[in-house]
Amino acid sequence: MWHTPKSAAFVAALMGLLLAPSAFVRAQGDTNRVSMPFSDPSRPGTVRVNLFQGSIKVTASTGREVVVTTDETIVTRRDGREAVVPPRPEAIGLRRLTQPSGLQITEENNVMLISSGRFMGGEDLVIEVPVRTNLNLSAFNDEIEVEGVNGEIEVTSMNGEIDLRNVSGAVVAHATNGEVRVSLRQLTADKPMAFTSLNGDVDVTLPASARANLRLRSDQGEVYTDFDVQIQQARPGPTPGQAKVAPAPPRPPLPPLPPLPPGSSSKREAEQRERARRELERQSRELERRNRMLDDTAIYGAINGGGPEFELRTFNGDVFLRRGK
Amino acid sequence: VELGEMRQMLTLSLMQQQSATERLRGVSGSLEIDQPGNEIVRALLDTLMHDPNVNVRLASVDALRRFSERDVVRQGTVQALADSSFPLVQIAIIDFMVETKAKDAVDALRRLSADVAANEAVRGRAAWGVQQLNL
Repeated sequence: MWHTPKSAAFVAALMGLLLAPSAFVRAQGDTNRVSMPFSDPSRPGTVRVNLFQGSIKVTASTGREVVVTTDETIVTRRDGREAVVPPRPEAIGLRRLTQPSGLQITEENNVMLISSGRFMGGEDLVIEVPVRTNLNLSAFNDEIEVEGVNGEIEVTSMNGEIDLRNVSGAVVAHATNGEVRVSLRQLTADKPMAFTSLNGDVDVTLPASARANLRLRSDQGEVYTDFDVQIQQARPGPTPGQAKVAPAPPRPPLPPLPPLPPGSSSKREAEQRERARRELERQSRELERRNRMLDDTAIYGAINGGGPEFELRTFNGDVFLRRGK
Repeated sequence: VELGEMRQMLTLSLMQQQSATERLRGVSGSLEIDQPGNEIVRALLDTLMHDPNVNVRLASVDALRRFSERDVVRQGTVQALADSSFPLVQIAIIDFMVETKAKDAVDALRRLSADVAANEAVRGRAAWGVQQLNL
């Protein structure tokens, strides 16, 4: 695809190369690329991305640095220093007085923050990260893809879909209007996970040996699985489709407190007060326990004997829970 | 007593973590506490209203269910219902109100069902909620 402004930028970049061969421009086609290390590469870093416009694609690499590729100008900040890629050849030798615009990348304390410096953002991002990296990705209009990364992966999208392939660790994902598709190769023990959508399907593949307590729910659609799920409880409640369901019986009144035995010694009164207090406590515990049981239309079940809680939930879509290898 | 307090402190500290996974762990951990103090209820309400992650907010709706008799929870859920950033959370709050027979939330639900700026699925659910609570 040829966009005139981009080809113009490309030509300008080429001219820059010709005019100033020493410039550190690494333009490939009309794409910019920046490589940025974590401050402590010996422990997993975190990459946080927040985009309004444009898609995010993250892949695992064997390298130790984060490599960002996009069509935007990239502005990096690290240890108080700033660099712009590519620099305008016309500006070489001059100081910039305005704030730079373009994709902003900042690293501090092993957290790399990538955000758009422009009002609406715009370009698609491709990011290579070390295999062991935590991700926190959020997009508004476009899709988010992740492949092969191992870490805590938090992904949120409003209008785009989410596609996580062959990831490991722990995932918390939500797409309001798009589909959530996740295949997990390996899980971190004892970490809860959640995969949810309002209007899209939720399609999750877990390793066959995964231990979990599941909470599965689709309000308007269906729930499918090929796992051997031990259903624990499924309490049908009122749903909009079955508005004629009889209202649940009113909660029974609390049983009366045991009558106080006659007597007036203050010690005995204190004992009685104590007993009454304990009885009240017992009743309030009982009430809270019952409220806890009072639940929705979700299906509860365990796989491989149970484990941390995994929630798969969509309002308008279907839920698919698949058994991987 | 010490064990219960430790559990409570652990839960509260998990709910403050950077990682959404840890916060989820804190929220579901609150269900294991036998007699949770007000701090736990406050922390769950704070999560419902301010947590940056939608799935952590959703989990807090479920964890708040056992405190649904408390005024602070009834008021907090009505307040959280007005936040339109995550429609799925709004729907979960509507279901919470219906399941816990929160008749005092009918006005808020009626307003939401008539709010043209709200998500369509949310408006439909709110209308259903009004109908359920008026049965």
